[in-house]
This record gives sequence, C-alpha cells and structure tokens, in this order.
Amino acid sequence: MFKTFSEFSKTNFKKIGVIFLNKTAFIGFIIILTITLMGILAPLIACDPYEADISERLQPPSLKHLFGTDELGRDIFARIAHGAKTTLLLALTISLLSMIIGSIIGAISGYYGGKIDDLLGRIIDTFLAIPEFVLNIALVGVLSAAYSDSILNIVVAIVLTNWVTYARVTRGIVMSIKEREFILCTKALGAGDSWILFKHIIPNAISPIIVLATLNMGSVVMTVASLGFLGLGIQPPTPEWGQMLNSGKNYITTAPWIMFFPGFFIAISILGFNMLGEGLRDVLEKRNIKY
Amino acid sequence: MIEEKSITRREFMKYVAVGCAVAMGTSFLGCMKKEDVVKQEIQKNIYRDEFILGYGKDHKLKGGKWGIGFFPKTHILERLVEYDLKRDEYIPSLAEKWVLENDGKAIVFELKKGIKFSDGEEFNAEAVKFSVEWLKQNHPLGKETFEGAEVIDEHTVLINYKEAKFLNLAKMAEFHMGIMSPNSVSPAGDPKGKFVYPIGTGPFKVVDYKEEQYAVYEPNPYWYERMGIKPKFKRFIVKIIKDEDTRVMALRSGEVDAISDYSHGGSDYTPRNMLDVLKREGFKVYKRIIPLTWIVAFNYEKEPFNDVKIREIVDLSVNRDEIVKIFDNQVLPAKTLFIEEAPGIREANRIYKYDPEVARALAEELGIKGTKASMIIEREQGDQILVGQLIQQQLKNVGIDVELNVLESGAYKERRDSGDYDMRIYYIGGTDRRFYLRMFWRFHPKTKWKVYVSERTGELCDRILTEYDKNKRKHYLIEFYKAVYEEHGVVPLYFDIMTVVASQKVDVEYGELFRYAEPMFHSVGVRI
Repeated sequence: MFKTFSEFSKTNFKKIGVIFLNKTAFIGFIIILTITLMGILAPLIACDPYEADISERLQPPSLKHLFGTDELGRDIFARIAHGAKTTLLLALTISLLSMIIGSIIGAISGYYGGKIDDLLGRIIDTFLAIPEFVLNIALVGVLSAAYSDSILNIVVAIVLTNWVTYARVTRGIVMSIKEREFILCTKALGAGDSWILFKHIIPNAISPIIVLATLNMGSVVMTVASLGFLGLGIQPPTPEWGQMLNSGKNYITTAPWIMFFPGFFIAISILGFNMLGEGLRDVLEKRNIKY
Repeated sequence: MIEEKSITRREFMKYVAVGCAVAMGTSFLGCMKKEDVVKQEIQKNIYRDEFILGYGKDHKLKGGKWGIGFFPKTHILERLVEYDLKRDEYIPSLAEKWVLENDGKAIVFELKKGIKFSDGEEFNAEAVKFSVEWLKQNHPLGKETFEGAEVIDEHTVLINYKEAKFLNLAKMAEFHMGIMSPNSVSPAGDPKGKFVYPIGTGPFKVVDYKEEQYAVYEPNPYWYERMGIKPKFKRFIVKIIKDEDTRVMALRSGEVDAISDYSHGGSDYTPRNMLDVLKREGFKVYKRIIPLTWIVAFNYEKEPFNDVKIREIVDLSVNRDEIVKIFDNQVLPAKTLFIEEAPGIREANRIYKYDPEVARALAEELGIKGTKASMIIEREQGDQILVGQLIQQQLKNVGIDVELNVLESGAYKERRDSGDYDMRIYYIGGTDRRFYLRMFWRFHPKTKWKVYVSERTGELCDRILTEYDKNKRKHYLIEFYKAVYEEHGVVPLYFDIMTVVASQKVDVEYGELFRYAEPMFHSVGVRI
C-alpha cells in the first residue's frame, strides 16, 4: 500500500515501462496512439472534412481519396481523421468527468458508511437497474429538446449514467482500505477525514480506477458512436464516426466504403482501449496484490 | 400431277387461313385494354387476396386535432370538387356543378345522384350539410372557413362561408374537406356527436385499425361499381413503419409489397437517394412531380437577411443542379418558384440563376464577407440535413459563414417561433389540391406559417386568393411570382416528388396510381 500520493506516483509511473512488456497492453497502446496521432495531425495530413464536391461524390477508395468520398463528395479519410479527434476528446472528457464524480461519491459512500452509504447506495442501485443505453437515449432526447449544443448534451447524458460504475468500484475498494492498520494509525494521529480520504485512501484505490477508466473509454466510444448512428449524437456537419456510419447506410450496396471505414475505426478503437485496459489491469492490479 | 398440285394449293390456302386467324387473334389481344386483360387475370385468380403497404404515418382513424390521417382522407372520403393543376380548374367530384352566390360568400353545389357511402347509405345534401357542420365544430380549417350549410333539396346544398373568397372553392378540394356519412359519429348525424370511424364514398372502408401499428381496409363495392372497375385484392393492409430505412428494409425482406410516401408530401417519404438503388435492385419505382418546392426561407425581419441584396447573394450562390445530384437527380432543380405546370409560372418567366461570380462581386461591394448566419434544420429531415451541408459550402464560397444547427423538433420549433435563426430549409406548395391553400399558409400576411410577406407580395397573395376569375387570378399570380423573384423573398431549391416503390409482383396502373398527386391504391394487385 502507498502511504502518500507522491509514493503512489513514483511507484506507478515506474510501472508504465512494464506496460511495454505486456503484449496486450502494448498493442492496445499502439492502436490508441495511432488513432490519437491521426486526430491530432488531422489538419496536417487530411484535407478539409467539410469541403463538398458533388462531382466527386461516392468515389471508391483511390490515391486521391484514400477512403473514398461520401454522398456529398467529401473525403472520408479527412472526416475519419477529424472524427477521431472528436470521438477521442469526447471519450476522454466523459471518462474523466465520470471518474472524478464517481470516485468521489463512491469514496464518500464507502468511507462514511451508515445512512450516507445507504442513501448513495440506493441511488447507485437505481441507476444500475436501468439499462444504461436506454437512459442515455432518454437523457439526450430530453436535453436536446431544451439545449441545441449537441456535444454538451452528449457529455451530460453519458456522464449522468457513467459515474455509477466508478462509484460502485471505488466504494468497494474504500470499504476494504479504511479498515487497514495504517488508516487506523492515521486516524489515531488525529488526521481529518478529507486528509485520510485524499492522501491515503484514494491513492491506494487509483490503480483499479485507472484500469476501469481505460476499459470504460472503449464503451464510451461505443455509446457516442451509437448515439451518433441513431441521429442523437453530434450533429452534422461535425464529423463523427457513428453519424458517418448512419449517413452511409443508404449506400451500403452501392458505396460500402462510406460505412466500412467509420465502422472499422469504431471497432478498432474499442479494441484498442479494451486491450490497453486489460494489459493495465495485468500490470497494475497483479502487482498491487504484493503490497 | 394436277391433282397433287390442287391438293397442295388447298393445303396452302388452309395454312394461309390458319395464319390469318392467328395474326388476327394476336392483334385483337394486343388491342385489348389493360383493364380487360386484368379482368381476365382476376377470373384466373392470379392476384393475392391481400395487398400490404408500408407507410410512415399513423392513419389516425379515431380522429385527431386535424381529423383522420391524410391517407384515409384520400382513400375513404371524397370531396365535392377536385383540382386540376394544369388547367387551374376545379372539376366535379361528388358535386356535379356549382354556382357562386352572394359575391362568392356562398356556393350552391348540385350533387351527383346515385352515389352511396360504403355502409350503403345514400349520399345526399343532408350528408354534405352534416360534414360541413362537423368540420365547423371539430376541425381548425372548418372553423375558419364555414358559416354553415343549408339543404335546398335532396341533391342541392348551399354552403355559406365566412368570407367572400376564391379560396373557399379551393378549400373544397382540400384533404380535410372530405364528405363523411352521418353514421360516422354517434349519435348518427349529430355534428357534436362522438366520432366513431370514417365512412365515406371513396374506394375503401375501414375493417380494422390499431393505432400506430396498422390499418386494414376492404374495397368499397359501391365505389368500384360506380367507377366500373374491379378490385384486385380483398384486403388492403397498411403497416405503419415510421422509420424510413426500416420501411425500405421491410420492402426488401418482402414484409410489405410496396412502400409509399406520406400523402401530405414533404416528410415521411422514401429517401430520394434510395430510389435509384431500389430500382437497380429490381423494385418498381413510380414517381410524380408535385408543386412542392423546397426553399431556403429567411428570417427577413432581422439582419442580415432583412436586406434584399444579401438575400440576392444567397439566391445567386445556390447551385440547384448540384443539390439535385444528392438525390441522384430524382428531383428537379427549382429554377422557377413552382413547377412549370403551376398556373402562371411559364408566363411569369422568372428564372432563378446560379451565378457565384456576381454573388461574390456583390458580397465584396456590400462588404459582407465573413458574415455569420445560422441555419436551422429539423433532425428528422435527413435529406434537408444533406442539402443544408451543401448550401453551407456553397455560401462559404461567397463569404457567408453558415452555422448549421440540426435540432430536435421541439428545439427547432422553439427557435423558429422565437425568430432565433437566420435561415431555414422549408417548403412551399404541396400536392396539387393544396396549391392555393399553401399559398395562403406561406405567403399571406394573416398566416402564422409564413415564409415571406412584403407589402407587395402580401397584397398580391390576397388578390389571388380572393379572385374567382381564372384569368384575373393568373395575372395576379404572374405578378406575385415576379415580386417574390425581385425581392428574393425565398430561394427555391428543388421540386419534390411523390413516390411509390413496389416489388416486381405488384401490378400498377400509373394513371390510376397518380389519378391525383397523392398515390391511390385502388387499382393495384399483387400477383401470386
């Protein structure tokens, strides 16, 4: 167990090197790195994703258009690359927000126990009882009727359902840690609750939360793409993979590349996050057992 | 030898006679009307008992704010008159003829005799009076139109209107003005009675209905007898499939025999860019152009589009030929305000041009490069989202930076009604029967759904809708088209169509299918 956050950081960052020895994590890392670089470098490596050229519509993949063109003659590679930025930024934002909110609520619930735990536990159970994606659809529907910012609507809708997983995991970990001797010693030395929570308990719970966040990024990518496919996600003309998949479905028999490439990148990025998450779990959690 | 020769000649003559008989028989069959062949086919029992149609809107057979759905309004009910767009004339339907009274504030309709409702009741002046009273009591359009109705004799009825306008007659051909049997309500004949289900004189009668799921109809034998044709199915099932892609999938899987656009036009239609694909897959695609023009409507009461010059820049920047390519050229580019069949369009001769060079020069002259403008589009309007994206690019080329806002219908209406937008994609016109009513709804100063009204266009619109004389009306129409063109009130984009896509097994007579602008399914049959 780590006694302070700085101790945690030193130990955990050393492990990052170990990730590269883990084959699964390494492949996952490379996939995510490639997609991230594609997103970051999109303005340099791809043309304008909004530029429509009707004379070039529905062109198959070629040297001029690597992934072909869509129904408005826009370059699909450019839209995929710019879409990567949108999708990854959304996944990162949603996962981070969910992690922060969920971890804090879970930690409070687990640490204080009693009525607070009962109340927060029931809230968590209520959220878990409703299928997450159905709730996402309902929330996006309600929010988009009131607010026109589709990105903000998606972030709020997914975070509102996604924090629960983090809260449940964190609560369990905190409940087990708070009974350990070093916490009791800290208490005996007169440390306050927030000091104990943020200096001693959360640093020790962070490894499984990071693993969870990495795995969760994949599912967030899936949720964002699914909402986009249903027309509830990011609205055109902003390039987004799920929405691209949707716009290509009418052409599945005549121009299958419009659907293939967004579909492929959705699948590969989810695979990447899952592999990275699995690898991180192997590296971080198995090692933690030794402590 | 001689004998042999004569035998050969006789044989030759026999062959000639047989050949002539075969040729005459073949040519006789060739000359037979298609209906006769169809009748023979029915006798041979070659059609299935059921015809199943996929449709995007509920038929509202229990009624609603605007009454029953548009589909049953055309298939169960008939109107007193119908509208012939090409001749700009109202033609008899249930009414034989009509006479204007009280300067057009009242119309006396002489009704056709020997017509029966599908429940066997006689169609007469009492039924018309009941329908008018019912509409006046229960329908928004009836409330604003009718003063009341008086029975003159069994087959003559006088209808009093609230205003003396040509629009009164135009409205009589409207979807909503279908004549119902007094037995459609309970107690029968009471305009304040409870609506049960629609009973009309049209081709079908209701058999079964489950809201938002299906409607089942049977042929109305009285209608078929009156028209002198035979139905090719015993039951007509309409499955309500709201999602356009699911409707297409249902057609592909054979779950439905055909899919049709929403009779109203403008929404719930088969995606235009799917028509060519479906045709290549072997489906039969039927389409009819309608006087429904998709347009860019401006928020012309606020900056920047309160300036006619800036509206002109948009007008000149829109490449309509490119827009129709999104739909595989299934629709036509709108280079005039309405299709050329619409009254006065040819004579007005106002062609909307695409000229980006002039647009750019004008933009520079006005110093509006970099002007920001918002365009709102409803999320459900998939085709318009594509059009909006293309227009965004076309306007970018002349320096107008369009922010596209694709909104959920509630949010869209809120922004539209509050005026929080600069442009939106909308439509004017409709199916043929709505031509004048939509002119009122889109261009008249008193309507809430207006797209553009100026002092000049508003006055002309009012004159058009008041003037009973066809030639004078045409004159006002021409002036109106010129005014909208000169003021760049709206930017026409493309003329829409009404479509039906059917499987190879479905026999369709195009003339009957598009007897009116809305598809009519009384003559279709599904071969076994």
